[in-house]
Amino acid sequence: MTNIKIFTNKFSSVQDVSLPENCILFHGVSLDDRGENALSLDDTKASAKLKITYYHETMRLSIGGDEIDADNCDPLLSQYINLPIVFEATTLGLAELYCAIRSVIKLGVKKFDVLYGEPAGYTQERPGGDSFALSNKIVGYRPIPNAVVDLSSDNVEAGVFFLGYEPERLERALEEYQMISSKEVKVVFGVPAFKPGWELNSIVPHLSSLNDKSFEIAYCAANDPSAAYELLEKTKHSLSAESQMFVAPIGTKPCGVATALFASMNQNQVGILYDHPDKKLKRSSGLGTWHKFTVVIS
Amino acid sequence: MQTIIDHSILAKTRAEEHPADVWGKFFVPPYFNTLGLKTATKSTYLVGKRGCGKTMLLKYLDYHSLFSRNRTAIPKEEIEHIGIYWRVDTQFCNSMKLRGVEEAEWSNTFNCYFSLAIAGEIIRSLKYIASSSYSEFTSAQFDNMTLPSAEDYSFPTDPNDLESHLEKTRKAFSLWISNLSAAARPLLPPGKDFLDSLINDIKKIPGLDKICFYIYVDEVENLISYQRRVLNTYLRHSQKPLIVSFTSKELSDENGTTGKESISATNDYNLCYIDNLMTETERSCFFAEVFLGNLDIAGGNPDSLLLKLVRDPSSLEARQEKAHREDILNRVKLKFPTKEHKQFAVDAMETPRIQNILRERISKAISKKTTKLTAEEFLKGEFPAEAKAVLPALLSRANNRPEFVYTELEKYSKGKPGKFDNWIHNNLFGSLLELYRPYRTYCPLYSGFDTFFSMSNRNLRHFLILSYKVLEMSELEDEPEDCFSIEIQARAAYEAADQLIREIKTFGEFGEQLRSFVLRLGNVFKTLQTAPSMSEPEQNQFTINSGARSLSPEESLFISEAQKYAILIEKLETKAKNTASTDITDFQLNPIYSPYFMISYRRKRKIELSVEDFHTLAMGTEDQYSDLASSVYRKSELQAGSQLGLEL
Repeated sequence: MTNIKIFTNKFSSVQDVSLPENCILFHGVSLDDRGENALSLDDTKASAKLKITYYHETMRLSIGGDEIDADNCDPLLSQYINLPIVFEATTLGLAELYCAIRSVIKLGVKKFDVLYGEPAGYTQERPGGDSFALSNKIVGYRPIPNAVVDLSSDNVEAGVFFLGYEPERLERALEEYQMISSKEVKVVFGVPAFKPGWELNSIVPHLSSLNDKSFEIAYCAANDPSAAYELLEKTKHSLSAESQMFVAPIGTKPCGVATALFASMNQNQVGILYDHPDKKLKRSSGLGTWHKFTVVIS
Repeated sequence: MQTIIDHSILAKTRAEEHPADVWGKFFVPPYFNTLGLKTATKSTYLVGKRGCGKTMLLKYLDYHSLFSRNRTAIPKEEIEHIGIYWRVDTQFCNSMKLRGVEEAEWSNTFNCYFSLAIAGEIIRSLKYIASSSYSEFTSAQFDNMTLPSAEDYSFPTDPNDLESHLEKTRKAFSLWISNLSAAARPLLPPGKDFLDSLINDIKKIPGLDKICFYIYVDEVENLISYQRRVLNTYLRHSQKPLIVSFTSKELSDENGTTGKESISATNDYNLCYIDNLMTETERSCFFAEVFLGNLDIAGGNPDSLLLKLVRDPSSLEARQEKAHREDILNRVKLKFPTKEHKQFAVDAMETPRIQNILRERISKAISKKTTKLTAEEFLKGEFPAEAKAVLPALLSRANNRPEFVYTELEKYSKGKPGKFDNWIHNNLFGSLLELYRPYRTYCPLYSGFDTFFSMSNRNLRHFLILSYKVLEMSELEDEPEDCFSIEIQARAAYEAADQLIREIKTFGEFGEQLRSFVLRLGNVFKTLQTAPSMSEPEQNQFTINSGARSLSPEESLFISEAQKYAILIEKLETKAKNTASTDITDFQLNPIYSPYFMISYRRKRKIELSVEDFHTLAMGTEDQYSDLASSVYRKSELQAGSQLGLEL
């Protein structure tokens, strides 16, 4: 049986993070202070830095200068699997993380690192307001190859939503996919949050939409992919044989990392429901704690 | 003391919040029989915006409801309509494109997927019917039946085996679609032929010879074009015993099929716009019935006379009776009372805070003019309240000398004809809104059943949200349940508007942009409404009739999204100009949002916007929007002088 372990190291500054010798650093786009900081990481030890982008309209993936159907990205990534692999998850989006992580796991990689930097604060819509300016536009729930499930089928029994600061993302899923209401749904808040008190920013705006639902409410540390993974495992164990579940990682990135790992490890049982937000520039400010999650598969 | 109300029932303002079986919960709409869905011989395409009751209707028609465990007697002919409500998962269907596969192949795959899903539902529906109180088909008959045609497609002929085989195939299909490059394609049923063969087998079973399956595909407009073409082919070839019907928020723009033909309304399907199926009288009575009926259920009276009546399709005629309608409307109007506008003016004049506001505004208006008259003279007790209420606006107008207004006021108070009749008619509503503006979340004009009905603008869900909010707040205040106070109604209207504006964020890809547009447009109307002279009261519509260019595709798409979600309500106004006629479209901001901005919910006046102005409201930066808002306001104030001839 395959096991997965996630070891966490914390750093007060990205400068303290040392990359493995000769590693491949996969990254995304910088949108804020922590993104800039992440991309300014001392990469003298890295043999290559490659940007990954997922195009939801075409379901294609670009890695460095190459572009291919996301279904067939294994050959592109196979050339890097003999080197230590690091995913810079502050800048990588959820779809990119999933496609690349699934592929390297499938290609037999047993150990890789995932970096993530917390911000000092998120940008509010109005100073003193209770909503946050994190996305320009939220495209909507669109499939990611290898993580597609048919929600209209009774075979998809359960679902887990990792919730963040944007209640409209959950509301839209429930509005557009009304069949979700008939499934076993768990909504997960990031508690403890990155900082004490931040949990209210996600709990309070969701109260009205959860008010009349019979969803199970759960909590899991916002910055701990290991705890999130464990929570997902519990839901999986509650499924009947051969049934499926979906995960909607619309909360913190560490929960997104757990989702990407979980869906990769359980490809036939788990789908991802994701809405591909067009993230705002300067959506967060300042720098918080840095994490290096080392994933070991045995 | 109030009776205990079960709020979980009243919280359900959306059909999806109800389980598949809605037997006993569905209130039969007045148009139900005219649709003739249960006996249709060809397809129906139902078009209705959010909140019109479309999904609840489909859930009622679905076999889970019509063969419900809660239905004690099911007539024999019910077998002639087995409804299957199929709501597609659009993200799953969206994965059936590109990915290195030709569209023709995807088209074939989608066809197989549809037949696989529907075949599974057909077998499940029979099993469900067999275990219901329907006496013509039993569980033993289900277990003993065989479907010999299935063998031709390498599927089992025993119904239980076939059901589990179809389920397994569907799982395998889903895995194949997800892992297209790695998983194997399962053996799939080939499409319509498979469904036809299956149904032919079923028809041979004693008692099922008249069986007919009606498939209702919901939200068809969200599918990819080629998928709609596949379903259009089913629609075009629909006939008893397999009829595929569609529903969507707006009519699909794909008329093609997988062959050379295309589909058209009347020839291939009955096109029904749900909103147009009721007269306003029928609608208001139906809304009232739904509210009063749900109140009975929530109050623990699930078998009230009213509920028996509204749940029974055969009682539709009785519900059309004038006496029934009057009774219903009287009952609901007693619960949601209101007053004449003139009476609201009297109430306002008796409120010290409003007296002060009025005095201050009159003083301010006359301070800019040369007059010896004082505010106190205008506010004499003998002058009627409705006339005093409009004074700030009248006295702020450049050409209205205070002495002239005063003379007219005296004439009006003595019952003599004069300008005040018209002034009050045009300005009282707007003036009352302004007098209550400092209260921010409360204006008594937003009260009364008729007002709530107008504000709901044909949307049952909006009406229920409004009225349940009233109920909820009334309970918190421990008010008597037989009649809701005007204050509670008005405050609830604000709360409902606030909730519904927040909800706009979830309206598709442009949700946030649409919300910001509503806030901007509403604020422009509010700003115009607050102009002291109120030269154009109650503006809540706009028309785009100028600009250096026509609307871009992006802007047109934005407008159609706003219409799709009923944020904007379109009214086509044809104005003859010389020999040619020009169509001008007026857009009204949905009146359900009006209490949030304290603007009028009545369709009254419009503003004219250029294409560029519209662009700014829909897509401009905050700075561009601020500039636009101030320029619209300035323009309105400038017009105040020039339009006095209109004597609004």
